[in-house]
Amino acid sequence: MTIITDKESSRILAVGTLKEYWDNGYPIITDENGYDIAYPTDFTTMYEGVEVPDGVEPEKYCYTPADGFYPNPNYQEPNEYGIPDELVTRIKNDAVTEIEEAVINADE
Amino acid sequence: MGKAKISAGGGPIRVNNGKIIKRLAATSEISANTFVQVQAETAAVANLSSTTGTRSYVRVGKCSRNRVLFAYTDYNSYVRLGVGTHNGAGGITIPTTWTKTSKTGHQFRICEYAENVFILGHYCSDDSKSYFYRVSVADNNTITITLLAYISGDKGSIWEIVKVSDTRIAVLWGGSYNGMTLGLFSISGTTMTQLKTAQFLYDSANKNGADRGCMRRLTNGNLFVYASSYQNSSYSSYSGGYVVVINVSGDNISAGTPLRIDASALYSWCDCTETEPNEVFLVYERSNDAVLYAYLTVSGTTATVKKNDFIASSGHGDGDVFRVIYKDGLAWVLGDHGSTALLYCWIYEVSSSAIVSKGSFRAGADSYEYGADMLLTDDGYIIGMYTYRVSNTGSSTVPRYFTISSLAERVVVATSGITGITVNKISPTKMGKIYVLA
Repeated sequence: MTIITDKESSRILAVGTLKEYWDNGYPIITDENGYDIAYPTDFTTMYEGVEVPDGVEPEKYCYTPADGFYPNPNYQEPNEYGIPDELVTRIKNDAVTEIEEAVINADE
Repeated sequence: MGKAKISAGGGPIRVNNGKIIKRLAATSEISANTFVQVQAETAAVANLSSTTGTRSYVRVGKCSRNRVLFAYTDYNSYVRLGVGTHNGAGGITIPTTWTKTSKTGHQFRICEYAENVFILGHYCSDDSKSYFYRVSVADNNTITITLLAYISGDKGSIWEIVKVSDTRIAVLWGGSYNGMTLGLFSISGTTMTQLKTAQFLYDSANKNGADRGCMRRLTNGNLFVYASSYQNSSYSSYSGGYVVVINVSGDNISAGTPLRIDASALYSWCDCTETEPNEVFLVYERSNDAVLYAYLTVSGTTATVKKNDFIASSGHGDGDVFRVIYKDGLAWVLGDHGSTALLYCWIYEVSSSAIVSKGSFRAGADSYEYGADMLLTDDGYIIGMYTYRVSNTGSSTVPRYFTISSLAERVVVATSGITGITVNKISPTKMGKIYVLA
């Protein structure tokens, strides 16, 4: 298989097969669902002919030739709302503040 | 009674309820007191990709040779970029291969910087940095992404990037509890340098914040900004929608005095356009239930509201406003109706003397908030993009494009005493229809 990783963090961005290259040198990877994505060479590293163990998924795992596959230490399951975590936190904080204000006003 | 002479293309004539009343020849005469409406219609709607995302943001950018840069955030919040081609009749050849950034950026913006060159910016919550890229589109539709700069510190989401000159851009941030931030940057090759930042709609004592915003460069060189502000602890005095005009002078920027447009605007999706030199048509959401416009004139950094009224009245329901574009006297407003998930296009005739509604139509169904944009092609089409929700909750979405018939067509009301009205630039090859309403 061909693996694309983020140059900075080594997290896996894609697992698939190398289809071809764009003129600018970006490799086009066809993923398991048949979608083609060209990966910018400035930010990514491509590894070909890698044996990918069962259970390894993009984002959840990192890969380097020296260390092999290992869990991405920064991976977090998406929240149930499908929006950024900080937005969820803000909405929760604002809701709590509103309730607090309402309670205070009710007491006055 | 006078006659209104109309130079126009032919085509089927329908009124809004679909009833065919009359077909106009290429040159027609109609009686005065007849309402003549050139109705735009959605020409095509289709998926751009079957890859699902979650509540994606979307943007479109105009490229040469009838091509469009489509951008959206995918399921991992990477910004995906692909090039489609408009076939001149409303159809789009969709991208077969996409490319994407390697930093997450749920909310992003693109700015047309030069022909086939865009500046892409997004805030990355993973490392609290804002990333800026140069995105170039080659003749064969390949896309090259080059990192220009990253800016540390949480300033919130990027709400707009505007080209100030051939070597400079301005960036509008908002969404943290630090008010709005405007940054002026120079670009040389692949190097982007911060020149100055200005902070506004911020009150450190009350921890006021600001969120959502839009920005346009005015003829006088200044930057027109609208943003909604909020208070951390209440939604009372300081909340509302504000206009701030930013003076740009050399390497410096300075914010004028904020002008409150609407006390009830909160988390207000919005956009604006300069209709005449230093006159702005602003459209914004008010408190999740209505869409309003404000028509303003700007002198220096002082903005004055000339007219402020509803587009869609209270009860419209989460009326997110995504894009306003203007040409030939008509403003086209793209927004949605949250409770019904319908995507609307409202048409307004806008001038300093009058602002007149010319109706609206549905640009798409099952849209999801956050995601819609549109642009005007050289041959008179609107090409848009929106987030189509696959599931009712919006947890699964796909990007869709839509095309709308010619912008160049005008809406005319023939009134008593008018002896001649010309509807310019109507091409029978375009999708626009002429409606004669009794």
